[in-house]
Amino acid sequence: MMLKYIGRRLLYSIPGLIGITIIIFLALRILPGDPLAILYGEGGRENLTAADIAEIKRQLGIDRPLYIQYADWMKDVATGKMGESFWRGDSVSELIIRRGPLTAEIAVIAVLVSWIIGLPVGILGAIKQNSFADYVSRFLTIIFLAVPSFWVAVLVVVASLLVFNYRPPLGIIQLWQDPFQNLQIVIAPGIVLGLATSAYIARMARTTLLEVIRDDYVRTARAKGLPERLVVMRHALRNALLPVMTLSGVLFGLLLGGSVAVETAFTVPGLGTALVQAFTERDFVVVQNLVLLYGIIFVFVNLSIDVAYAVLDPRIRYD
Amino acid sequence: MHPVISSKSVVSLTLALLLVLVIACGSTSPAEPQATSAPHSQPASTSAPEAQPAPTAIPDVEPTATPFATAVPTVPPKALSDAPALMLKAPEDNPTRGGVMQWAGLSDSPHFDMHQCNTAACAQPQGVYFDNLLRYSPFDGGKEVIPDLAYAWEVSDDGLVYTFHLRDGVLFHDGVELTSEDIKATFDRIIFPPTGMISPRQSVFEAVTEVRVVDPLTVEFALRAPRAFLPSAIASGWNVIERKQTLDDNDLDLKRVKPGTTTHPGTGPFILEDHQAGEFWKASRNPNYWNPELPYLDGIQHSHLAYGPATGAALITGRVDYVYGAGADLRDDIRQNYSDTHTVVVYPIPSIGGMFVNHESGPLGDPRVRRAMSIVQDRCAIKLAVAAIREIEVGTWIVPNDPDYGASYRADTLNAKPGYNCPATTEDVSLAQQLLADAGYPNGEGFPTLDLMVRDINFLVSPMAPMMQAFMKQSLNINSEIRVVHTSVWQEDRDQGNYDLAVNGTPTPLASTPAYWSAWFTTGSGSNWNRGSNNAEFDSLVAELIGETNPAKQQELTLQGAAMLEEWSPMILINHFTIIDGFANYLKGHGRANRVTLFNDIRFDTAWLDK
Amino acid sequence: MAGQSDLQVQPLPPTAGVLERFQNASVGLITFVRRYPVGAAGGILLVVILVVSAFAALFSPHDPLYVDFLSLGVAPSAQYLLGTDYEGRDILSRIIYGGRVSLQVSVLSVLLGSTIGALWGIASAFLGGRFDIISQRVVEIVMSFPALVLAMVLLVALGGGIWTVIVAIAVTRLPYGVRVIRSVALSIKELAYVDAARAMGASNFRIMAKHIAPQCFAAYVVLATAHLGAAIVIEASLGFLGVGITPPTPSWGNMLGGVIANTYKPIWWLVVFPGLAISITVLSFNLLGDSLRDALDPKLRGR
Repeated sequence: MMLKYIGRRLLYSIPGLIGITIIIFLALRILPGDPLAILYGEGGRENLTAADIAEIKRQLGIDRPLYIQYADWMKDVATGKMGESFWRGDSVSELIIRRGPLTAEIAVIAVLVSWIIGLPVGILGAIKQNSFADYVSRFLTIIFLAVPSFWVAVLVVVASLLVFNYRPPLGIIQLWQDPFQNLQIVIAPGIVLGLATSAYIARMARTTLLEVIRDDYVRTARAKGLPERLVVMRHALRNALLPVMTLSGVLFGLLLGGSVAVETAFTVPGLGTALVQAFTERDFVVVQNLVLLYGIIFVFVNLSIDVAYAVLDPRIRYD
Repeated sequence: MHPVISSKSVVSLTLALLLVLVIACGSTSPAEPQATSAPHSQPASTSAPEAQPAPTAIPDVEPTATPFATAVPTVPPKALSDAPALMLKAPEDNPTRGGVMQWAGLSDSPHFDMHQCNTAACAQPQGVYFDNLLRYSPFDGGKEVIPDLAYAWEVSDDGLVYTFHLRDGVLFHDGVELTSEDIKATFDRIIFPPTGMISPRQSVFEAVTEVRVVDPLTVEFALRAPRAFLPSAIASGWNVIERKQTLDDNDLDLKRVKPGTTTHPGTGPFILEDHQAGEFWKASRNPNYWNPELPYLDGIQHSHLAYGPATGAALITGRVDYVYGAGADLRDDIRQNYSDTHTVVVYPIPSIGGMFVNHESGPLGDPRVRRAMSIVQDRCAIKLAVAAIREIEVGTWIVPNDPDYGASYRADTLNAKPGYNCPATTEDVSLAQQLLADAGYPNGEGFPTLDLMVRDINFLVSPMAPMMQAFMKQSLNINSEIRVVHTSVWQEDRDQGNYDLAVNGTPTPLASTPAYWSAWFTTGSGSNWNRGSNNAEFDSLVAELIGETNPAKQQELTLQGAAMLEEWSPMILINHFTIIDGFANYLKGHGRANRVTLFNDIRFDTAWLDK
Repeated sequence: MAGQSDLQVQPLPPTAGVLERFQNASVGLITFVRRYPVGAAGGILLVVILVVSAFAALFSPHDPLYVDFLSLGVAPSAQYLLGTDYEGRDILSRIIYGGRVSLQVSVLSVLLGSTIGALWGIASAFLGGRFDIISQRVVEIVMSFPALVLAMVLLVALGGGIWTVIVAIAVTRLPYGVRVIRSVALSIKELAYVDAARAMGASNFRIMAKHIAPQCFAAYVVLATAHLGAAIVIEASLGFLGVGITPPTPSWGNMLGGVIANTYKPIWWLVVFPGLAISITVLSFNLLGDSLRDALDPKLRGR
């Protein structure tokens, strides 16, 4: 039953994913800046004759009909190759394997931080509604919702430089190579992103918990004389967690987007900086594959949340 | 034929060499060996530091009939092979071997085909995997051209044939031996690029008609007119020697083939271990390098850091040993707080900053008006005003990078000629006002308000524009309106002539004065952004200068041309730009403290770590 | 805000006259200020920001593009209250003028995105069937891109310029409009008077325009207010990454763009003040938006 549900959900996501690829592909082919101007520098482009341009387009494979280019890309994606960068011919899948872990670590830290901070703050606010702590936490929440995470990142970078003359280690150091150095790279961006999303979590947790607490069965539990903490933990929290979890999935998109700017601010060599670099170089192959990756990750994170939802909430049927 | 062994970085070697030559030739007067080395010591830096390619169209020049070469002794090439060839080594005694140099560069190469590239982003990380036919000396800041894969070269009497003698036993990274076919394939590609390939330095070789293989270790360049700067052009950091087989295998397109590998081998001192796009280049020592002394380093890790906090902080915190292209704040920080552990070098790059003039726009066609506008510019004040942010050099008509006349011309100009006094003098201003009055605009009356278009490229050009505007207003009562525009708009309006004055700062393709003048100021040149500028006298002087091989005559023509430019003022030249490098003091043997320009020494083969 | 009782604005019948609406609105406004002082404070702050930006020339002490070459990168002082940037331009004036651009971009993009989204949502809900299914799929696809990344892709495709930035951000706001308004419209669709109108032979278009759309208006206002803040942040992020509004036109985003890119010891006033401007504006949007949501449409909470 469960497997069937997952299978069907997976099947449903396929048209969506194909739609994603079409949107990316078309967007990047409508008016692609001028890749040749990027390649040959200012002024160099003008020195090319029409024959030169035709030859270069042939070399780059952008002279073929769009549907063939698209089909080739799909073939690449299906075989997991994800193509090669436009200019240097580097394998995009290798790039993802190399840089992905840093971004993934940042995302994991961010999600953990958002839950570790957001949930208790939200619960506190709901239990002690309208108390001083509630006001403070709501005030902080609303501040954190307003402050752009990349700006916080820039502030952290500038402050650590000016005050401590500190810079994180250079380059990519994987967790398994040197955990200490690796954490120096990912911890600050992770926390900055996590703080930004924790505000959403806190707000959602507080709201849903308040609603659940008013529900009948919680009232019943309370009436049975169960201690308040137990009521919250056992009954209310479990039901309040589900919407928070769903929100977390939606927030994951915000987090992925935010990580691009935050990685750039911290100059973390993750996928986000690779994406920005590919944008500036107009390297469409890298851009289209990375954007697709972001889309796929987002879709599957939300799919797994739906599945988890179905497991946790017996009221949901598998059809 | 007159033989020449160039050398000089190791003085004793040079002297020994000259001695051998003198003895071998027998019948030379003492002064003449001096003359023989002349054509080889003209480092025209044929390099465009950043975006600009070399759009130079150097005018055709007939070979001059009376070159100095007739007086020069001739030696058969055979004798050369027996002479000791120059082998570079570190200037210090007992350099330490080993260690990996950490290098922070700016952005990554757009691709791997050096011949098709014209940015530092290619030359810097990829230069260490290759050798050139000739190279610039790393020790004198890149002034002198010295042997590289060619241990010697000679010029025919008429200056039309250059013969290069290759070192024996040079191996590519995959173990295959270098032959003259590889040299021919390399330069055929640069000089006569196939369709679909852009060769930014093609125009510098426009006089070359053929590259000929004489024997496996000898190659000849045939010219239709003498070009004294040919060796410097060959030594340009981008003109690396590729293997013929590599070019054939890859259909003459190397953009996607990583260098320093067996599929794209060089002969250079380092081999590529790993490259991650936008992250780093990891190079290791080439154990089979033809110079057994070099390199000293076990490897080079070239990391690409964002320009800005990353590079400077990485140097100061000891994460890297060498930083290219830092900012003024790093310069000041090192000088004030880290001078015992670090060194910072500021060197001018061949570049110009200032106002390009639309000669077709009303009074701006009058040279007196342009000269007046140029004289009132207090270049010294401008330099001081921007000093906190970036170091600039006062701009003169001969770039400071020109090794022959740059320094002397500048010495004659600075604090002497109108517009170059520091602080500005009232005599200068009166002279300018007089010029403007002579042109029919006493006290700026009736002078139209000028459209002053400023390219919004960086935080350096934009603040300079209002200063230029203010000087014209306060001294000449010439009004102008600043229009700051994005680069694309700037270029479009420039090409269509929608400007009176157009402010820009840009690298120039060549530091060699004739080539630099030819590119920027001759009629109809692609880089002449002074719309409608036309000076037949100057054009013919440049044409003559390019073909001239006699140093004395060259100097005469050069100074004559500079004087002509002072009068004519095709543009309002304000400044040259500089690059700031920083390195840890324990990094030795690289000669960068003497640096005078870019891209002449990018190999780090003689560098070593003293720690 | 959650936990407080919701504002009692009388739901008006669709036939209500202009006067009744106005009276209702002004009573609503007074009640709103009394009930939601925080939201009202946000609103007032916002009005101040809007006025200052709209009349930038009156409020800014200098020309935002004027270069004082004797004061490059100077710290905040009496002459330059918030200091100058590396090009000697007054930060305060640039923030004021930049706010004009940033607010213009965010308001127009949200209006564009939410309006098209809302209309689409109404149509989707009302027409149902295959159109609805396809619409939901398209919305899902657009939503599966991180907003910032989607905007970047569109900007690369469309090229720079203020209108392309507006369109790019609008597209990222579109799906929210479709989703939220669709769900509101769906519930209205079931109401008796819609059935009545249909029974009386009203056309689909007429029902959508006359009966459904007005009832979605509250939700639309809440939605648009809530997304203004997000739009400002996206504009700022784009500017920071160097793909937004092209210089020299100042925007809050591109003011932050070069701050750490150009120096190794960044000067703090370049970093702090534009970010503060963004944060304060987004904060006031959020405060107002939250209170509006609680007041007008408690059902939308958490969306």
